[in-house]
Amino acid sequence: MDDKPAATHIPKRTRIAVALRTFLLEASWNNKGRQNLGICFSILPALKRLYSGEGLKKALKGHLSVFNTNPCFSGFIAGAIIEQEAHGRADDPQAQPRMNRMKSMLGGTFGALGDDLMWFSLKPLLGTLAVLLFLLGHEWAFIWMVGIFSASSIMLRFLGVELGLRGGLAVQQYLEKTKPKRIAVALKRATCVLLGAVAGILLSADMDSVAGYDGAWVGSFLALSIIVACFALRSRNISSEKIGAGICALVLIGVLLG
Amino acid sequence: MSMPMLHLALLMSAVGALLSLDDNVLFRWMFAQPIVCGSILGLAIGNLRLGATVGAILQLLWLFDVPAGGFISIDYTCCTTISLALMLPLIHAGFSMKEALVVGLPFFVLVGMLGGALSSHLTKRLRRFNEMIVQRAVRGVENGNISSIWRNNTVALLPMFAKAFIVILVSILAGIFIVFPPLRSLLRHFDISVHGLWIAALPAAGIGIGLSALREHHSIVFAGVSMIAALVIVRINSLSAPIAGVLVFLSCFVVFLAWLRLSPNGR
Repeated sequence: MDDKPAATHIPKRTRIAVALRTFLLEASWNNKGRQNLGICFSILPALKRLYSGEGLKKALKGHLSVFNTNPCFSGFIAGAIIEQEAHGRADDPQAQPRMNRMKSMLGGTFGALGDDLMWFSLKPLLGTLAVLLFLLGHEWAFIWMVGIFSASSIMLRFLGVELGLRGGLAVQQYLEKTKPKRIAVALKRATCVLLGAVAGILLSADMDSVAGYDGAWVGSFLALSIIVACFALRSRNISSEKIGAGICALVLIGVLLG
Repeated sequence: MSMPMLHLALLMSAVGALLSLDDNVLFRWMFAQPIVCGSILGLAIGNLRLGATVGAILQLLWLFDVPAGGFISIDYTCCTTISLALMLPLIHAGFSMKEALVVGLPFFVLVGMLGGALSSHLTKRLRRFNEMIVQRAVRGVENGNISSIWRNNTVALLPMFAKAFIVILVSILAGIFIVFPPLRSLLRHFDISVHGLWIAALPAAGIGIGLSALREHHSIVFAGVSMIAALVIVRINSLSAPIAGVLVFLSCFVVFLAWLRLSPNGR
């Protein structure tokens, strides 16, 4: 091997290693470079296949520039970076700025997409589902949350590396086919509906699974008023922890006053 | 504090610290979420029901708080672990789970929130410390030491684990020594048999926060419909629990489909 990129074909074992390493993307998250060391760590096995000696050092240093994205979608970017490295020319002075532009653009795009789809749609849905299942008497409800989310996350990372290695067009086609924004809207609506069902069970004052909860109708009205009050407080940008602390304080006062 | 309690505090701190890594630095497989973390800790201490209950009560509060990018929310894993760990001495002292949940949990959640806030603050500090780790990795690469990439990336996990472990352990011990004695004497003087409804207060707050954060097109209307459906189904006493559960999910599915059909593109 010399300073030039080697063959474009990346062995399956290396692709698996890259996908697995993306799970440590955020291990050294820092304010200056964000996930820069993490992405270097992720693509290192592939870079070792493409470069050696000074070429490898130069490529690694180039990838230690600022990088940030949603970790679940990092496989797509890792794959695209490797593909770009494999087709780039080591002696091209424009290769590094082009690579940085691509990383920045993909990082931003997948960051926004991933945050919306995974953190603000799928995660709340699974959290609400787990709570609802628990209230209905399933103590092992948490398995669903971990199982579905981790399966999606693993699938996205492995698929991402594969599609990224096929180039930007394959990624674009995949995104056009799956329509992640529409999926996110559907997941958010499902979360709303499930939150409503959780509220219904809380208001029903017949929740055997939570320690023999035995509130009366007056308790239902109290719970409903808490829901409305917290909705209004959150709408005014009061943080969850402040609302939670306030509720705990209110509960304590209520209990002590009898 | 008895030795078994100290062992339990150490065990919970270690497991809680491991689980908290999932939210900021590791897999992001939802192990750090309160209901998952609470259930796993419950399994570790041999009381899944207690762990899952504490987790479920806290889960909805932080449904939309995600440490994404530079944002660091309160460390809810620490909060859940501390709250659950502090419930144990109360139960060991002879209080029922319901009594512990109604009167003990609000106190313990407040202690847990303090621990969680401290943990988040320290995470911000550690992210600055990570800049030094990255600089070490850069120097290593410049000197031809390629292994410095994986070594430094992996080493960065240790301070995060140590931080969470120490914060949880100190908070548990502080809770046991400072909060627990006055709370126990307080509990002896109050009749708490009628306050079961307070258990619903934190999940109710979480529902309000969640609906406010979602703000989907007609979200309040459809959440209201599914709420009424679930309320009616659960109130029908003749239905067995599994059938009521299936009917609740069916009603949710129907409401969801109706929403998609009536307003397919959202706002």
